[in-house]
Parts: sequence; structure tokens; C-alpha cells
Amino acid sequence: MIDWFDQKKIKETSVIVAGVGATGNEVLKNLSLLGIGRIHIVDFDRIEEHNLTRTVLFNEKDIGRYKAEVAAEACLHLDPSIKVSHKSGDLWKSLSIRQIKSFDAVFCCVDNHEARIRLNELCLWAQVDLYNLAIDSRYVAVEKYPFSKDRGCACYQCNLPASVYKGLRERYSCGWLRKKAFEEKKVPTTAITAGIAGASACSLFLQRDHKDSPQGSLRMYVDTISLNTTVAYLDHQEDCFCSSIFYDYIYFKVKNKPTGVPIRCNGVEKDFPVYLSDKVVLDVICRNCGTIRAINGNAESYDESLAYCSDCNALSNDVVIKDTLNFEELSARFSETVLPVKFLYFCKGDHQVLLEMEA
Amino acid sequence: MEELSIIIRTADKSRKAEIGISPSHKVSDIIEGAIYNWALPKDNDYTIINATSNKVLNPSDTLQYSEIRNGDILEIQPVLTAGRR
Repeated sequence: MIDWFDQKKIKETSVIVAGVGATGNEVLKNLSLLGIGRIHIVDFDRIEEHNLTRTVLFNEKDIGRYKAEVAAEACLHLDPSIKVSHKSGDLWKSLSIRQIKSFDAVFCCVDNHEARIRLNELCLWAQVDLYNLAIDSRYVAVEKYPFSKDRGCACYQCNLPASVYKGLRERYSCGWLRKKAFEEKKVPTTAITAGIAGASACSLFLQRDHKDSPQGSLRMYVDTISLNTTVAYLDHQEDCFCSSIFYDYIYFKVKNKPTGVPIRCNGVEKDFPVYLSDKVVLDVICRNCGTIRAINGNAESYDESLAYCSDCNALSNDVVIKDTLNFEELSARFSETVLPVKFLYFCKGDHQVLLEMEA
Repeated sequence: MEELSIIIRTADKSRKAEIGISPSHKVSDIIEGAIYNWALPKDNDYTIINATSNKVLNPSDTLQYSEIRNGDILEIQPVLTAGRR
């Protein structure tokens, strides 16, 4: 009945929805009503009373339950024929690159730059299209990054202003240790902006193969008061990290155990750089007493209290944090402990090798 | 280098100005100027699009590199982050 709407094709389509707040609810509602084939939902959070003014899939009896679980139930209620799975956890820890590869697209409905940057990176490696939704009380931004088809397209980070990175750095001290007292800025949103964002993102997704559909990475920006809408195209930036990713890299899933693969790799020089997906705290070194303590843990697990030396009773520790090591350093530090990262990659000759850790 | 004459506006269209500026200036200079002159909220991040060519501009590029031409309309848009709450 609708000339551009192919129900059979939609039934064969699968997506991940990351974040089930205001925009995630709208995306899930639309996709469920359209009869999409398979949805995987990820969110770490539980439902609170204040969420209910902008979330069509939740109601009062759901307060305290996990958002992903309740959203999955609601999607099945809207269309029992769709396949829905869910994970109540952090998206970086919950989603593997291999898992993302088995979907057609990811809808990024989170509420902070850090999570968007991480999802962007996962989608780039997985070469799966990313739809990024963001709102406030007046404006709507929906971005499309067609990583599956357009190898040279811009990624989310290509055009992020430097002030965003500056803001991210303010959350941390000692390099990349979380500040205990950092308070997130609260951004008010409305059901109206969420509704427009969800509808626009789903429309862009459904029409991605249509002959009139705009190509390349783009941003749609709507002012919901003046109704002014702009669509602007995003250029790939050569100095962005995404330029370092080979599109025909070699992928391995490896068991992350102390004697795992990363320690040895035939044909690779021991001083070759290995790039880690996460920042790792290697050592803390006290400037006063000279005590060196090996940590070898993911920087996300620590906060600024690591700068405190209990022997000197002072904030006198220098914290050594890195996200690039060579094979010799990896071998020395992680031959007897688990490597605390999601994945690592390195170049071997003309090839790029990605090793994703299996928990 | 000859000055460019361009129009700057905010996303809500409440502010608009025609300015003369050297093509050697960076896109980020325009953002900084708008925040200062129009007292835009300083706790927001901003991006600029060329509404004439429909291109998002890279803040670290110069206007010349960004191929800005006389009469182009540049729109300053807040970078949005929310969506989950």
C-alpha cells in the first residue's frame, strides 16, 4: 500500500538500540510498530519516576526495574512476532564487535559524549551503520554514519569540536582517573523533541537504500519551535582516529586469560606498538618515598584516590596510564594477569590485526 | 587576502549578523566571537554549518580551507548530548 515501504525487507532487518531513555523509547516504539525482525536492547539503568514523562514504553508499576528488560517486554506487547533480546549493562562491556557485526544498524540513544564516542568506535570496527540521536528541550539532532557502505565516510568524532574533548578531560584527573566529585550537567528534554528524533532516525534508517535517500554521513538538525530544519553533510577528517582503521583488518576473538594471544605474535617485532581499546593504569610512583606499585588495571576501575600515597600520607603519587604498549611491555606485564581491555590492534606488514577479548 | 562578507546566525534565528572576516581565520574563531558577542551559554559546545552549501564545518579549519564564499550563511548550532534521561 505504501510504495516505499517493503514489509518483507523490514522483517529481515535487525538493529541494536543502545540507551532506552526518551529517544530510545521512541525508536523502539516505531521499530516495533513497523514490524522489524530483530531488536537487541542495551541499557545499564533502572526506571525512575522522572523518566515517565518522556517514555512511552514505561509506566508507574515499572519503577525500579531495568529499562532494557521493561522495554523488551513492551516491544513484544506491540508486536509479538518480532524477536527481542536485551542486556542490562554497560554498552562498552555488553556489546562485542562480533555481536554488532550480526546487526544491520545501531541506534545510539545515550546521553553523553563518552558513550557516543565508544559506540562510534565499535560501529566503525564492526562496519555497521550508526544512527546517533540527541535532543534537548528545543532542538533535535539526528546523524547517520553509513559505515557498512561508505568506507570513507565521516565518523562521529571527525567533526566534534575541541571543546567537547576539553569537557571530557574535566571529568578526569591524573590523566584518565575519574574525579569523585564530578557532577554531570542535567539537560532537560521533552517528549516532543524525543518523538521527532525517534521518527526522523527511523525514517532515515528505513529509507537508507532508497534511490532518493541522501548519501554519506549527515546531520539533520530541527528547531522544534521555529520548525526550521537543516540537513548538513559531514566530511571525513584525515586526522581523525578513524583514518587509522583498515577496512579489511584481520579479526580474532581470543580468550582473555593470562597466557592469552596478545603476548606473542609470530612475525611481529617486540617493539612494535600495540594499541589498546582502553586506558590502562600501569604503575603508581610516589614522588616522595620512591615506592613503585604495579597496578596493571583498566583506568576506568580507579579514581583520583590512586594519587594518594598511604606511606607518605600525601597526594604524592604519579600515575602511569597508557593506551599504547609494545609486545615486550605486554609480555612483561600481562603474562600472568588478564589484559584489562576490550580489544587491541596492531599492524603486521600491510595488514591490521584486531584481537577482541572474550571474558 | 581579501575579506569575506558572510552572514552568521544562531540556530533559533534570534541572532543574525553580517560580518567581514579574513579567510585565514579559523571556523572556531567565529564560534568564539558569537559566544562572546551574543552572550551564548558558555557551558554548551557549538558547531557550525554552512547553510548555503549544507556542509558541517570543521572548527579547526580556516574559512579558506572550508571553501566559504561571499554571501554564505553560517549557522551556529549547540552540540546536543542528551537523549537517555
